[in-house]
Amino acid sequence: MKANLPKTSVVVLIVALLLSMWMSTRLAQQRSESAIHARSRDARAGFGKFLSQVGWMRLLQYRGSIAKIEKEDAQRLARRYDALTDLDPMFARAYEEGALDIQFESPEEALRLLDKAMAVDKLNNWRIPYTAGFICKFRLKDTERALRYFEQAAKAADHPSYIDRSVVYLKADRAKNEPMAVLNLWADYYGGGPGYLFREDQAATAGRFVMEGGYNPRIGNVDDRDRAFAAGRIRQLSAQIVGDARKRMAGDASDDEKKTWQARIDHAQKIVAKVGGGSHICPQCFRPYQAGDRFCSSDGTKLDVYGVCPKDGETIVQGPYCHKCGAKAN
Amino acid sequence: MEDMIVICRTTYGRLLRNRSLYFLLLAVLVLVAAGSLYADLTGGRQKELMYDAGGALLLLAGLLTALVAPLDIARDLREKTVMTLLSKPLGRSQYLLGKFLGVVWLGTLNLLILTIGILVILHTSTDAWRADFIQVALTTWATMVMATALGVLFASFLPEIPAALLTIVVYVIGQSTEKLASAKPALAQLLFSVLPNFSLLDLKTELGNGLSIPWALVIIAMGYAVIYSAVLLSLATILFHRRDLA
Repeated sequence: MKANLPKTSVVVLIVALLLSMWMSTRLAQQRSESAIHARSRDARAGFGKFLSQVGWMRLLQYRGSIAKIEKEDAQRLARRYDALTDLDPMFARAYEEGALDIQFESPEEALRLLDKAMAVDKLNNWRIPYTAGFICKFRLKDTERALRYFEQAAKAADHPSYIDRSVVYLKADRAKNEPMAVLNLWADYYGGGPGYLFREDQAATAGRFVMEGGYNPRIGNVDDRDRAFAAGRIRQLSAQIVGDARKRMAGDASDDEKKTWQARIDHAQKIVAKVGGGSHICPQCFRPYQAGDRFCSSDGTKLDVYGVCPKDGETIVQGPYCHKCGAKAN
Repeated sequence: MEDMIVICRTTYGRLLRNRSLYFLLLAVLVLVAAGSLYADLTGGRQKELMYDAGGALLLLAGLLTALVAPLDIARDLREKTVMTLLSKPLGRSQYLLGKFLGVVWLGTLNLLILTIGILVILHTSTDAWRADFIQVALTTWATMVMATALGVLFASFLPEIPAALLTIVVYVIGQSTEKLASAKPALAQLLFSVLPNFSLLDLKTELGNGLSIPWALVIIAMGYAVIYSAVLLSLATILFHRRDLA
């Protein structure tokens, strides 16, 4: 009953094989472009994603059975989280909670888990680098490494503004909290990026916080509350810088030193003028003053008086009109 | 062509009479729906669990249906039914294609029923239509088609149990071939393009994690499955023609 070789089948076999070879290569290319970069390291015959859920439930049970995580538990947990994220490389919660679970006993293992998450292209989740930065800062006391992670967290489009502030604090730490360096950091934060405060097109870039290197194109993650907070810090630091500079200039400073101190005062005043436009602060010491104040209570500087009735000289604390005569305040 | 359709209908009709199929469909739907009760055990991830369980059980149903092909062809050969069929003016290729289409038709119906059921269950528990699950269903259909063709190929020259086992083994190997695509040696890349790449048809991890997958990718994946199935069926036809059925 043996038949001859079917020619049609042979032709179809050759043509379809060539076509499928081309398609498989093309499909693999397309997948690497549009799907996740780091493929599941443990495919489990296509059931990997479901098995990761089962593994997650078992892990929660195991974690619940541990009263206090000791070194050995941390290592065991690290292995389990590692296996779980092999099954589903995009399991953001497993990376994050895993790292937080083992951070006290095995901070380096926790960071390794988070680094594994950050290697997944499409897992653009700010929580993961932020958690890594947190562990570096508070468990390992490694500011430089923490700063790198926080800066990476700030790249994520939906990151909250406190990450940007964390970056400023860490950079201030790195600058040993030198007032002028810290002032410049807050000025950059307020302006939306390095040097943005004095840019011509500041209005167009207001609210855009671009970290060093200009890698954060997100607009509006530094909101009005954040800017108000930064303005407060700027005024505080400027007052400290100006006060300190004046003290030194009054001493036995040389002409060159006096020039340097004056330049610092000018720079601080320039920043405050940009930041504090419209608010009532002393032009010398940058402390805010109240309605009706004629002189600064800190340094005696004559002030632009506001909130005073032009008719009877009464101080108007609330609203634009005098509560005694109804005249409009100056 | 008509003979092939007759074989297809007969295969489909015979398989449809199998009661266990209905239990399987019901069990899948109950299991997916039960996922909503797992809020505490999953730490609030019960919706993700339901989605992933839906995808996994859909794949399981597709694979179990695909395994029917080698078992059914081998049974025909064992019971000599194939001799009666082939004594009529019916080609061996038509017989194999008819069997393949019969199983694929059954698998398509199974997957369709399950997909609709799972979509309704997901909708009732999440208050949103998870349209991306259709992409999971289509790629699972493509997997089922390719696995069925693989089953037909092995059944064309092996007895039923080895054919079914080999189908499973090659499927599992095919799920791990994607690493070969980026491998440096040319031989590895050649192997990648020749082997059945089931891993290319698996988008459950991406979709389950909320990534949006372009429809073009799903369509190319389906096209690849159909064309590769043509390769497997042509090879099955050639081997079946050379087989001594007496």
